[in-house]
Amino acid sequence: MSASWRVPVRPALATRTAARPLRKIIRVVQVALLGAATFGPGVAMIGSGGAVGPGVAAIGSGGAAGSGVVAIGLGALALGATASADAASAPATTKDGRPFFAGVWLVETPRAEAKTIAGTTPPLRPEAAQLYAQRKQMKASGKVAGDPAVDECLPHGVPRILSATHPILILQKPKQITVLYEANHQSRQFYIDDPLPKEGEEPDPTYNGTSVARWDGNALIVDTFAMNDKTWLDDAGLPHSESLRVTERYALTDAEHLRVDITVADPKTFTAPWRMQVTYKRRPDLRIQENACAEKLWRPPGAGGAG
Amino acid sequence: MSRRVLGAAARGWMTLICLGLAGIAGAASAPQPAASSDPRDIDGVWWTKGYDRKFRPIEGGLPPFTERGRREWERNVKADEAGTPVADAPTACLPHGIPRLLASPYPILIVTTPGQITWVHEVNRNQRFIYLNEQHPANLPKTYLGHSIGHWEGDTLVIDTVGLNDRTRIDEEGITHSDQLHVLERIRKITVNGETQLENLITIIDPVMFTKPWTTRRTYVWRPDVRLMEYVCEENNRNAPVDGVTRAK
Repeated sequence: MSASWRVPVRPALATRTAARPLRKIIRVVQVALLGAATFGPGVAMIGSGGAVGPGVAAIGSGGAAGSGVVAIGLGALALGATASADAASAPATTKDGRPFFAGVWLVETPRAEAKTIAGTTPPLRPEAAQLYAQRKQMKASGKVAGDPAVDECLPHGVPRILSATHPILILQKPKQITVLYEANHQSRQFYIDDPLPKEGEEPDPTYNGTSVARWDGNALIVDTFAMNDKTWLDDAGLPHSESLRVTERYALTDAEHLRVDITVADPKTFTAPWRMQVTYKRRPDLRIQENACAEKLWRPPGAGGAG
Repeated sequence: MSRRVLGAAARGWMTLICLGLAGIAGAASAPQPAASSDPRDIDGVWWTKGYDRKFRPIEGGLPPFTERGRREWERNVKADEAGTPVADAPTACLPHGIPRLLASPYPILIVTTPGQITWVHEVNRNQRFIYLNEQHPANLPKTYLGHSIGHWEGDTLVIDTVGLNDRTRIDEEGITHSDQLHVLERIRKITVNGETQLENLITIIDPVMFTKPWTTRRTYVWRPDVRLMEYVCEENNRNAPVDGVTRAK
């Protein structure tokens, strides 16, 4: 596929200064235009409007339009077995020579607290260190429900989502890699060879940000930006600002293991960029299950109180 | 969040509509990748054609309700009219259920991989996995989206879904179902006035609520210009049910 697959549809909306809620409202308008006349007094339309998350709008284009499937799904046990057998010693590759990331993976040795490669606490600025200590204390007390991902079922954010102890499914196509996370049914889209936005032209902030990716030899480099500051960087409450930028380097260490080297940069929170690592083991025996986090927000009739 | 959105909406509604239309115009004039001519290649982003909150049989009229099915539907419709709609699963940010999800007016990303077709719905991040050429396992746990298997019959993708719990509805209007619900979908790529669409013929089988199977239809338009947005129902959910009733807040 040539570079022409990318179609800027609404470049004028790509600026931060264009008021962040614009994109959300535009999607609401788009949805409303679909069937304005048919909406009844119903709940769900109100729900649709109110529930539209902070969004990255429909700029760009058919990331999934790549031809030629190179991915392996869960069901393709035979292919999976081939990949495993072929790659007992060397990483498997796709038809176009890329590393074979597709399939189900489960995080190995998840950690509640993010640590640098050297095993130290990330280099927090004093105010951020204080906030981190407060959140850790709050979690340890067990009395306050303040974890945005666990208690409020909000998206985990990057890089915290990488350490969630649920399986992930990677769908790999030539121009787009989709990662589905069982944890609270989240997903991320990596658009390959999309340009990084210019300074000041980043899309609106979201929980899991916007990602672009590129191949670097046998590694996939994913740059993620435009993240809101509502998420934690780890289960313990490591804070960050909207200046957060995360770079992930995905590489197979062998056919059964995927290593992600993560660089976290946020000059408002840390004194210097720092690196951490997450490893996954291939798990063709697992499938993504329904994980309805919002069950815990549900108040059955008679229980009272807003959910 | 919602206050911010509403405030902005109040201030600039006309501007927004203009921008939205400009965006649509831009999408129409920009060169788009053509949809694959392979009838079995349904990968990419699709967006429902129009929106109808009611599911009705293709031949018209009401679904073939059992006495209980009609009673529950009438209860929900009346509650809506009274301004006290009965809360259902998506109101509480839970998955929409099949078949209700199939009517959602939000984009869907479809990705085919060997042995599997994955539907990533923008709305409330619903994720649907269709396992090809398999059988349903015995003793399925009941879930919101159930267990889906599929196979190709010529150029038609046939999806069979069971294992659904009874906490979702058939449609937004208020048709209910039991956990014996069984949904069949027949999906094929069609061209209408030069526009590539997916047609989905949805057959609903539930002996508790309906006296016989009935079929409804939805279509989705090929939208290579659209990417999924992050959807966070859980953030400041203004429709969170109170005592099982949804009140707009």
